[in-house]
Amino acid sequence: MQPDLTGEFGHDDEEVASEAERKANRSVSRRTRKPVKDSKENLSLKMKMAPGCEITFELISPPQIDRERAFELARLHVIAFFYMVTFDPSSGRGGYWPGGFFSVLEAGHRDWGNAVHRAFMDAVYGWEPRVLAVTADGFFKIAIRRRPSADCWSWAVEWNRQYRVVGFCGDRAAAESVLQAFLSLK
Amino acid sequence: MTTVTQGPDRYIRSRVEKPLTEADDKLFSWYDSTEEGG
Repeated sequence: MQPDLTGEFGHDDEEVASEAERKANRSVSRRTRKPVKDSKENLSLKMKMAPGCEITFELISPPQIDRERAFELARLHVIAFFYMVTFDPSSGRGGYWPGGFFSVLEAGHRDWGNAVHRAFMDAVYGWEPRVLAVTADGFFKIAIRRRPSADCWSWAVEWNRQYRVVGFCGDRAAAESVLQAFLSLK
Repeated sequence: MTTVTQGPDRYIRSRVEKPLTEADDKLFSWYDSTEEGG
C-alpha cells in the first residue's frame, strides 16, 4: 500500500494515497519494529577492488514487506478462491488442491517486468483459467490457472496495484518442470 | 568479494528493476487463441 522510494504509487487514487499515509504513521513494521513511515531500510555493501582499495555502496529501500508473510497471505487468498471455484452446492463443500504450495517471486510495481515474472506469464498464459478476478476497484487481482493434463495450478495475486506475488500449487513435479525453465533467470 | 554489513533482508537483489508496460501485461488477462491467428 505504501509508495516506492520516490514517493510514487502504482495508482493515482488520492484517497488511497491519503489512507496509506495515515496507516504509515500508525502501523508498525514487523521487520524494523518502527512505524512504517520510519521504516526505510539501509544497506551497506563493501567490495574489495584490490589490496588497500575498497568501495562502499550505501543503499536505501522503502519500507519492505516480509516476503514470507506476503507468500502466506497469498496462500490464504488462493485457498479461498480455490474453494470458491470448486464449491459443490449439493455437498456444501469446496476443494483444496492435492500437493503443495510453491511461491516463486514477489515484486513491486516498478519490477513487474522482471525476467521471472515475464517468463511466468508466458508459461501459464495459455493454461485453463479457473479464476481471473479483478475487484475492489482494481486494488485486488487474482488469477488461478490449471496446467493441462496435470494436477498443477499457477496462481498470481496483486495487491493495491502495487505488489505482485506469483507461484504454483498442486503436484510438485509438474510445477518444477515448469519452474526449471525459468528459475535460473532469478 | 561483496559483503553485506547491514540490513535485515537475507539477500540482495542484484538485478535492476524492470517496469512492465500495460500492453505486455497478461498476468490477469484471458488467453485469446485468435490473437496469434490460432
